[in-house]
Amino acid sequence: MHASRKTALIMGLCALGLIPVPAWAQPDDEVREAAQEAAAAIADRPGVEHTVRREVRLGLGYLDNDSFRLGRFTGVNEEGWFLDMGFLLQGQDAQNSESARYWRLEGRNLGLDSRSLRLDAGDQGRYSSFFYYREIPNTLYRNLGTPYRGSGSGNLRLPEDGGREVADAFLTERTLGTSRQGLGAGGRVNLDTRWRASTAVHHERKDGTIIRGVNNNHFWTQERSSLVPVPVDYETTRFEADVTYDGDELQGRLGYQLSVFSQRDGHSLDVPDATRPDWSGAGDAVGTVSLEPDNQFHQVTGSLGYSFSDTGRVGADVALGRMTQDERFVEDVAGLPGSLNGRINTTLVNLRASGRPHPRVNLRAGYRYDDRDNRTNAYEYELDNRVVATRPVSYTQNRYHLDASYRVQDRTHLNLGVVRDERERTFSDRKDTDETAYRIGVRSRALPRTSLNVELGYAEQRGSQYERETGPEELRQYYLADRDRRTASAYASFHVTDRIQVTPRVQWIDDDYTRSELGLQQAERQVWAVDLSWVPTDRITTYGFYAYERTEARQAGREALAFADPRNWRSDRDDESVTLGVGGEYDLRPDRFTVGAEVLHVETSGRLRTLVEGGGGGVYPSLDSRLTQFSLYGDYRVNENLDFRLRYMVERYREKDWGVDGVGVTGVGNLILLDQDSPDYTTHLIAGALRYRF
Amino acid sequence: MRQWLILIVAAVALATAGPATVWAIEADPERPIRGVDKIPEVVVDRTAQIEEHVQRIFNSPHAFTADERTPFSQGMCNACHGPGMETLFNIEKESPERLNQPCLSCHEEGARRHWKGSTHEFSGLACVNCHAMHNERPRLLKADTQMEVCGSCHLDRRADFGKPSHHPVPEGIMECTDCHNPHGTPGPNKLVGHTINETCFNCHAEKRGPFLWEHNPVRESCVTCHDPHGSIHRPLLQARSPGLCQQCHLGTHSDVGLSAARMDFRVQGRSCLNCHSQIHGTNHPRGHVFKE
Repeated sequence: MHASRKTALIMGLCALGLIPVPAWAQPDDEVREAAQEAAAAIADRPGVEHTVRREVRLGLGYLDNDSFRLGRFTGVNEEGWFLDMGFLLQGQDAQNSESARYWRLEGRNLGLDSRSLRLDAGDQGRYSSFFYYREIPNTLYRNLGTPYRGSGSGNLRLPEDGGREVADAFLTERTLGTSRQGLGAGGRVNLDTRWRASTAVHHERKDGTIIRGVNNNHFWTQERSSLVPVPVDYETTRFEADVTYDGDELQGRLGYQLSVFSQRDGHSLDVPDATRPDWSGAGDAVGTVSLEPDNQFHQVTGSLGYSFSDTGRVGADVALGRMTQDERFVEDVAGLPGSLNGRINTTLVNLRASGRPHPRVNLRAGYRYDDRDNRTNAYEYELDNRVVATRPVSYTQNRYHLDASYRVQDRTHLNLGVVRDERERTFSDRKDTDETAYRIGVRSRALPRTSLNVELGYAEQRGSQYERETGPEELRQYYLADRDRRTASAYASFHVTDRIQVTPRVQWIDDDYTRSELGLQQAERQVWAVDLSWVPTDRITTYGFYAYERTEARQAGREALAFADPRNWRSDRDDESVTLGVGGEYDLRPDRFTVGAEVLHVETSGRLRTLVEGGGGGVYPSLDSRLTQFSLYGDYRVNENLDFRLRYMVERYREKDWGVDGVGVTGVGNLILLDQDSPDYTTHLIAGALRYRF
Repeated sequence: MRQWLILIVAAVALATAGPATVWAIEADPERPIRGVDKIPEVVVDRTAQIEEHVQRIFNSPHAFTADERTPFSQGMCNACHGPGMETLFNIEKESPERLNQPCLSCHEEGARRHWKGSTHEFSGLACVNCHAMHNERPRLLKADTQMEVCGSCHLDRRADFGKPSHHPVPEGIMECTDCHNPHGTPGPNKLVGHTINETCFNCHAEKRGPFLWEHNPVRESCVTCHDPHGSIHRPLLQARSPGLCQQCHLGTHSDVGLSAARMDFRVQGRSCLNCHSQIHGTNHPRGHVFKE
């Protein structure tokens, strides 16, 4: 074939392919007719038996290098082989039988530290119940060094022959993390067609080792403090019960919940002082650290909603809570009782209404009252020749909002909204703040296969006279400060063709605090993101995503008041992150063999620059992280009962943190830090799994 | 080279022109897919797939006739689609109100009690934007994981979960609904708790208090300092210390290290938290500056 004709033919085919007949051009009548036929067919569908499905999964994998990020929460993060087992057993009555009983028992990740087991059973429409057990690991630090012995236990010691200057010679290596073990059970009963009652109890224990800075009561000018691996071992039990009424127009709920937190191994910890030049007799120089005290939270909740039309509804919510804590103090101090007898009452009231007074107008309005009434006594007592006064915090919030949506034309709406938020606080530098926020937006699906949302907003936070008790007087705490906020956001979704969808999203928030002479001056956040999905053929699906986020902030500060002539300074913060990914799946043999791949790259950086009045300042090194991950997998259906999956993944991860890298244990003043470096590794994971159904 | 390019484009185009099927993906959260809504809503030959589409309803809770609340106990397909199949849930053609009406006629209860007037409802979302009634996925979601469903609009939040510090959502340990109820709640930002802190205390009850020494912004809202979805600063902090702390505190020593970009005990290690580690509150009588 002549080259030009061949090109023309190919281009013609291209044109045909690239501009397919839109699916939605197909008349609904045809679809409706087919649906009616199908519906008629299933109405005569013969009854089927109670079905039981069983599935067993057995997987074996290998990780060729310790990782930090990969498997941090699943337990697959140590070099070596791992076993991943699971099963799923489920049964249900026939769809048209006289009962709708079902049960489902699933075990996941049984060979890993993230193992879980869950059972659901019930008779749909009559009752349901659940039970679960799960573990969640969390690796916090890998291979760090610390001079503390017995780290992670309540019996922390320092080598008798060591001391601050020679701490490097007494390091032991530890990998630190925590584990949560949760257990729960509950159920719901339909008392009749409108009334239901449900209850649930959840119990979770968290144990492991975390890092905590321990100062041992040194004055700050001494620059003495230690980072210490301390144990955590506590549990939380939650109980919930409620009764609901679901009528056609009226729905209501009355509920109660209790949350009890308790330490399992004491309420304080003795920590020897590693900043001492000589650790001999360090046991005599322990500081007592207070652990989080046991506490309780009770709450009664009520909710009512009434639909007065298809679109109109009014509702109210009330929640009355009480937090208590009465753990004995770790130290007796004159002027303080033996325990706090802390009590905080919380009250929340929500009123809301929404409706459509006109076919083109949609309205919603709401009021929220949120009160934290701290009934704990305020104490004033002397400590090291200084009088200190506690500040039991209370606050009250009143928030009103009104939103209106007007249908400008078919499928295009103009939205307007206003929010007024008023807050009162005790023991605060600013007793009252208020914010009024306005927004205007348009959402439209007027264009075929396109949706578009654009919104602009402006908000002003102001408040009462600022009264600081400590210097510098000009400093404004950023969450209380006067603030002008401008926002813009746009979100769209385009079906370019039947097989291509593009979804961009842009967000911009600009906070102006320039009424504050000192403190945060300005903060700007912008996000640019786009998703792309493309299904080039029935057997291939591909996707890509990209997100760029940048946060810039500027702060104004002043040197310490102790300086004779303190200079003002400024710092600029610039945080960036880029996320990029592409992936796809190919049905090599439909219903038999599928392969897929994905590449993910995430890069973040944090930069900080300071500028001092009259000259000086500098730039800190950048805080960096870079993740590159490539995954390849294949699913092969051997026969009706047996599937095989093979998965390969390589992860390259690196962080740079000038706060810890190369600093060592004794590299900063009189501190005793951890011998740790930021993660930097490449690891390969290969795993195969068989799934057998019977 | 040009010929090859043309041939590749042609091959792709020819493939694109072929008949498509409903894209069915078996639920499997272990798949390394980051939550992109990879299923265009369009189905090319809808009539050809109608039988398969209809059959899938039998895998859903809607098909039990013994439950007198289900559509199959009240007129089968007609209960939702109308006696003449008037409503085909064509997202492109129907209004959200019309799309939602069959669902809300039964489901305006329980966790959906706050749907009317909620942000998602007011934004014109329909149930079928997130759910596909004819499938067997948990909660009849349109995609395998909540992160895929929610992340298809909340692209920024999905990207947050890729940052070095994040809650374990992409790992499948947590789900969006552990903290949020997309159908609306009495709390802010569709949180499951009545306040932000109440929501956080569900898993972090040790930070609830009351404490002898309370840190005001912490008691008011955890998000004063934290970004719960993800951050480049551990642990989920909005900025790194000492910058974060200096947004509210310029005391006797907190500015010195920063003013000259100097490395010292105030900025290295854990910065302010080298000493002030009890920043969420403490019950120690000596805890007035949150060190003990």
